[in-house]
Amino acid sequence: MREFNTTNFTPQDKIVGVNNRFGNTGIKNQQGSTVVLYDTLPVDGRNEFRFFEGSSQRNFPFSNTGSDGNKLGVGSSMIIARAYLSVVQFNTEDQVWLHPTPIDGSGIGDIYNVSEFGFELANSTILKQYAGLDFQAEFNKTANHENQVVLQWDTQLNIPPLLEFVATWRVQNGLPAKANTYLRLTIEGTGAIIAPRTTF
Amino acid sequence: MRERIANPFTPQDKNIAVNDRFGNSGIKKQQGSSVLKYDTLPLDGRTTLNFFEGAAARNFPFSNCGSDGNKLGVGNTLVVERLYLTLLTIDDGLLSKADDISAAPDGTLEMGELNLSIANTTVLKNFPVLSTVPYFNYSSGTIREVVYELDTNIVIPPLLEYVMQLRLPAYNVPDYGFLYLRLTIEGSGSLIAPRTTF
Repeated sequence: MREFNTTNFTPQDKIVGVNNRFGNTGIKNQQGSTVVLYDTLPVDGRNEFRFFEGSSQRNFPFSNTGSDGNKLGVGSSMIIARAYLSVVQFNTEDQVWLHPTPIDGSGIGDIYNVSEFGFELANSTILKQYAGLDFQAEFNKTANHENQVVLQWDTQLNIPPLLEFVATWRVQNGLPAKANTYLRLTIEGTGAIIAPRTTF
Repeated sequence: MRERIANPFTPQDKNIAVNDRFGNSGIKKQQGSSVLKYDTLPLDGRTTLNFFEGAAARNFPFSNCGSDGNKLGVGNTLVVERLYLTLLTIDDGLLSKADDISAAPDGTLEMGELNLSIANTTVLKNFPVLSTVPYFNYSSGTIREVVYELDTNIVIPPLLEYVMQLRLPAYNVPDYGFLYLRLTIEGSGSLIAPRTTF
């Protein structure tokens, strides 16, 4: 029989614990929420996608980080419980977005999954050379069905406020560019958003 | 090895605790229930859809908010545990067909972002609709399921206005001519159950 660990240490506990260590003791008084951040970069032949870096320059629907860019605002925090990559394409003829798809079957080639994923937080690497193939449904141990490309991490990583974070997706050299086609990384999990309890 | 988080703090516990903080200590004596709220708006070119705002003016089958509109009645609460979007087609004045958003003419809806605010406070911020699509929805059990389970349960106490705003990129209105979009939020909750005569 397959084993699994049970724990009563929740993602919320980890957010509070990590932030306490940074002296950010007020986080437990903020609004608990589901926090989902995404950033979108063009498939232009680059061999390393650095998601969230400079994302304050990108607006809806390319990124939802707003003016905070690749830092969470004061009173905000999140646990990276899951991540996924999607391909979004803009139809310049009709001036509309097409239905987003996973990398596999998107037309940019599933070779983009033969890659390495990493995550940097405040100049420290906290996820290192993680094989991108783990996202692909066939190799994704957390997929619930044959087309699901969301990868749930074994360890939940906490992003405290005001620290720079960058996610890297390294692919082979020489992969072709594709016009009006973008790769989007989404990270999601439990989090907190600022909830001032006083008037300004 | 993957962990499973076993938390004894239930949605009902959170419901009671949040309401206690508002001085609404009677909520634990009301009828526990599964509460589901939906609202439907036309895709008529608007790029901001404020679900539940003004829902008192919409009746079945467009909304089930009734005269309370975008407030829950006295003694009613809802813990928002899940949400999903549905694409509805109008045919001869009747809502005739229900599909998930992949049936839309293009990817406009998947590119949208949702915000939930309660009493002018944002409690869910810039949530991408793409995360509800089965490929990318961690909580979907099948390739068709578009219900998204939130990581944190959000309590809507009674008598506070709530609005869920969907922001969309521009789209071609003629393509969406007969289409409506419905947002559904659901979870544990309570219904008023008076135990005395009035």
